[in-house]
Amino acid sequence: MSIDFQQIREQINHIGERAPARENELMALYDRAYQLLDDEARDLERLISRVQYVVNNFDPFIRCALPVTEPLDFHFFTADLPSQFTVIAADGSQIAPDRHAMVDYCLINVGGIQMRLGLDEPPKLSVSSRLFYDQDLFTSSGRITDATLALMRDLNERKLLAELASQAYPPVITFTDGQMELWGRASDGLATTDFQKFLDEHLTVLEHLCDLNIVTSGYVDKPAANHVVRLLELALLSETELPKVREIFPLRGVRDNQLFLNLLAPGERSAVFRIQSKSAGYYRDSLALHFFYLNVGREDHPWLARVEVPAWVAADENHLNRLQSVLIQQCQMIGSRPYPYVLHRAHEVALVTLEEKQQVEQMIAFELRRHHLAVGELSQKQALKEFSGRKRYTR
Amino acid sequence: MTAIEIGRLLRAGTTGFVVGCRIDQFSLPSFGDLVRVPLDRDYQIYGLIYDMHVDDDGLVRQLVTSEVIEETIIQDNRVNRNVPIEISVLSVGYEQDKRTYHLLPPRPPLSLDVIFSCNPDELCAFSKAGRFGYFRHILRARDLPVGELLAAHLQKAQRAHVQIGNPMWVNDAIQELITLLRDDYAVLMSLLSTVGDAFNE
Amino acid sequence: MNNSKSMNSDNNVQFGMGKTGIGYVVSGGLKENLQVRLTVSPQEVQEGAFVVIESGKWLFFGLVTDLQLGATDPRFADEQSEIRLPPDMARLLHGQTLYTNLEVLPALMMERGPELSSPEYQIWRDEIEVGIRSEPSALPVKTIPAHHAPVRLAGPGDIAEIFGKEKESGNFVIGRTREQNYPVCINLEKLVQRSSGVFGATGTGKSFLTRILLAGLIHHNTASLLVFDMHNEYGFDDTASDTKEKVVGLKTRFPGQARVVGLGKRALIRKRPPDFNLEIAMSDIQPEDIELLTRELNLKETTPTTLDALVASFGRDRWFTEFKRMQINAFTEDQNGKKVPADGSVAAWANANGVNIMAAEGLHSKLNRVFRLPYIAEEPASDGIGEIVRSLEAGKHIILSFGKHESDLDYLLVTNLLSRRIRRAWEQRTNNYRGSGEDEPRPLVIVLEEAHKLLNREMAAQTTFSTIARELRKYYITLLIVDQRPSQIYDEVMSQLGTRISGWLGDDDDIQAVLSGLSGRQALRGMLARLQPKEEVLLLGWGVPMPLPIRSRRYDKQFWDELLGRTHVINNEDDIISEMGF
Repeated sequence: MSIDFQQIREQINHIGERAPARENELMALYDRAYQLLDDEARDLERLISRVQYVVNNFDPFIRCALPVTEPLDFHFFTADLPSQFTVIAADGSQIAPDRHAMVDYCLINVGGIQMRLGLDEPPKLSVSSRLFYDQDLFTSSGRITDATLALMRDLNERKLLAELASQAYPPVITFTDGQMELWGRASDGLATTDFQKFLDEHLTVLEHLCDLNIVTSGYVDKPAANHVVRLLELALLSETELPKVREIFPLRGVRDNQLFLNLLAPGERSAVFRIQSKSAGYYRDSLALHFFYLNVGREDHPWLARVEVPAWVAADENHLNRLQSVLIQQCQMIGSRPYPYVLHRAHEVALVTLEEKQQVEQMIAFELRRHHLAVGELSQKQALKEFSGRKRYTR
Repeated sequence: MTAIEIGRLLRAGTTGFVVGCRIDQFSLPSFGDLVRVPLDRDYQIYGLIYDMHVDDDGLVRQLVTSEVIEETIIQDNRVNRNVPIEISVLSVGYEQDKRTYHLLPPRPPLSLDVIFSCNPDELCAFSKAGRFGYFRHILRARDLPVGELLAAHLQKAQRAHVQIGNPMWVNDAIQELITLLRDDYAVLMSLLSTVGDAFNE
Repeated sequence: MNNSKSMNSDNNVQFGMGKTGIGYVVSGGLKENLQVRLTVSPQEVQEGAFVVIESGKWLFFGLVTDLQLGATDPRFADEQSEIRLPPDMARLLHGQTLYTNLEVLPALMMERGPELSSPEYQIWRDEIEVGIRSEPSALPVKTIPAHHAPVRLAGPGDIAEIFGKEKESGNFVIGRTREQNYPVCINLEKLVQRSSGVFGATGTGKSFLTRILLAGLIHHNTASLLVFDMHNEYGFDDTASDTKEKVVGLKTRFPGQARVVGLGKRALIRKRPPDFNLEIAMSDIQPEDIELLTRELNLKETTPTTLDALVASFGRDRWFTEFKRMQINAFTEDQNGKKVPADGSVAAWANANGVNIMAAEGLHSKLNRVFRLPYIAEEPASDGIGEIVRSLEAGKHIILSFGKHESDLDYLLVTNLLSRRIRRAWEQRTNNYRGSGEDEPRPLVIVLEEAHKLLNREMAAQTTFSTIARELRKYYITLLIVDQRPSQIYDEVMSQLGTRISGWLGDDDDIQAVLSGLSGRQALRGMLARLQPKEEVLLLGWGVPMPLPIRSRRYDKQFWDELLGRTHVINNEDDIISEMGF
């Protein structure tokens, strides 16, 4: 069936009617937020203790930004590119186990790219492909789920990154796509034991990178989280409202993105904040997670990215400056749509196409048949979906 | 010989087939190349490449919008990034038990791993077996750029034949074409002027 | 002949013995001609080329009568592919999409037997030797070659096969093929068996060709010749009107055999005295001779009656003499003083014999032209005509030069008169031969120039010549006509001519006349009009195996050297004597 456009049309009309009023409300909220930013900018001590207070008493899992040393409205430009350096990115993709397919298997594909600018040579590519079949498809807690697979993939990305970085020409700057922490919670169909195992491994990798003093970061292209706004909300709440902190969102609708776009000129970064959240709690000391916003766009088309860094990078001014400069350079390389070139390429290298997926399946099936083993069938559902794809050879 | 690794066989029939593969620019075959496809120990199909489709590359289109392109990025694109292409091949003959035939192959390919670009010796051997019977297949395919395809093929074949000491081959080939097309003025003249351009070095 | 063939990459069919083909048969038939696709450049073949087609066990001999350009699609012809395409490629179109067709008139066919190298060949040859199988000879075309039968230009062997070998007796080289200069013979014995003709517009070299023929005839001694040399060309040396070169006379080269006779008592021919002079006796002149001159002298219808009466009065031998003596307008007075015709006058005789006076007088005055002819004598010094006849019977050749007597009247009178006598003589001889077993009469050829004056429709009934042409073969006399207006010659006579050799003709009627009596030769019309004047002639008629245009032989020193095979300067009397046959 299809959409009932009649119903939709009515609802859209309502949206339209409410929109202008809502807009005005939002404008007022933004004014408020800017004002707060301005007022509280330097009152970092008070803000930090406020957050601690809430975490200790009312919401230990609250997610917000914690200022470190720089004022809230801090903005900073640098173009401190080292004369020689290596930038490395890694990305991964997977073939999830598909019970509709002929063969039951899954695959993790991780790709990395190393680039040294100023040299007349192409970047080096690396790929690592790992197939999981039969017993590999089970962990101690049962069959691999999509979430598990994603975790494993992320972990492998970082491992590849560490491996490449350890042999690269220093100084080395690395990024991965998305936030630094491993994504996943126990409740996401992920057994706690599995998650813990992966987390431990991740922490080990990060420590290794820390030892090597390599700049590690996560690049978030269109940041949606509003950690700084939450911080401002906390500053706004009265003493009496604090206990109900989990339910009160006075600045709801205001977004970090918009806030900082007005603040940061192209190439400028915001203050470095520390991430306050439950999951961030796993990363401690020199691995503690921080972030800053960076305007990677142009005068006529600004664009905000969030860059997450561990503590050893956040604490080192040189690291930060280099990271900022390299990121800006990488984003400019691509042209009108700012995004780090190496991240895009890493993604390309890691990507598994549909054809490749089908090729792998055929290869497995062929091998099984060669040993005179039976191969499963497509599910009826899948077979029906595929009917329309058949084409006869014509020129 | 140059081996072109194939990603997959997309479509195949008695008169030809289409393959998709990723290939770097140094190994790209060219339009009009003769390729051979071994399917069995003693059976292989010969075909002419009549179309190559390079899929749209979003990244390259994006890169050209930047003001300056770093050398390493250029190199990256030239060397590292595989070009996904579709190669369309017209069947023109086959070899069975070491004998070459200019007829349509009895069995089309069902699955492929590799096809080979023919070297000059193989090109000579195929093109001089018989009396240009394989021209029929090309001329029959009126929806292809027949003139261009024949011109490209003749050019390459002539080079190979000159090397083995048979410079009159192209004359014989053109004679045969004239005989086949003597009643079709439009196609013959268009074909001859295209071939004439090709040899007008 | 070797049958083996192979194709080379130029699509030329190779014949055995290294002969290269020029094409192959594509269409055509017996009624219309054959169409041949040319595989060589059109410039290598001309109209009139003699070609040979091999098909199965037959060889076909024919003439190219037309060349046509063709194209598989007219656009190939319209567009200049030489500009649009590289030259090598444009060249390949020729012969495939652009081609030339020959139209070939098949004239003869001949069996050729099995392949030379095969065992069947020897068997076939033996059969011929023994007599079971006849020697293959050229036959009229009854069938046609197959599609794609290879075609080539005739080689010297083919020409010798058809036209005769040069060395065989009776064969005389009359000219050479136009493309490749091979010698073409005619058989003189066959030539003189029927009447023949040499034609061509004025200035196309008829008299040179005639000289060549006469030289050949004299040299081969095939027949006796009586040449009526109206313009004094043949006997003594002459000068060519255009090149001013000396033209050797027959007497110069054949001093013993040829005799030049001059008309008139003291006639000089080209300022030289002839061998003897001819005077005509009045007694030789017969009424038929006069009737022949009707148009010339504008005689009335009453003439025959008058002549009859004269003969009745005076007899055949004396009527002329007497009539000449009579006078016109001679009157005397009779008893009564009335004016009456005098004795010895025409009128008197007329009255006495019941002839209309005016008719008789009219005839007499008209005949004055004849009476006044200086070479007619009552008592000639010798029997000139008899002398001529005897010489001819003895195997000599007579060239009767008319000297300054060049009018039509002279020509008509003298030729007719002479021929009548000769005819009688030859008839007698033939009857003797047939009846009493005496020697066979020697063939005689009477060479007539300006034949249309004697042999036109009006005169045809009256002159001896048409009779000679029609009937006298059996009496061993034939004609050789030399003329530039064949359309004016009586067609019954024309159709009797066995061999016709024709130079360029411009008039359609003349062309039609030369071709008359030869069926299906319309293809040759164009050929006649396209001959090169003075250079080329067309041989045709039953006297030649097949029609063929040739380059005629030059009447020059080389000709004489080849003919006589030695120096032709007369050195001493002994040569003369031996030439005279003593």
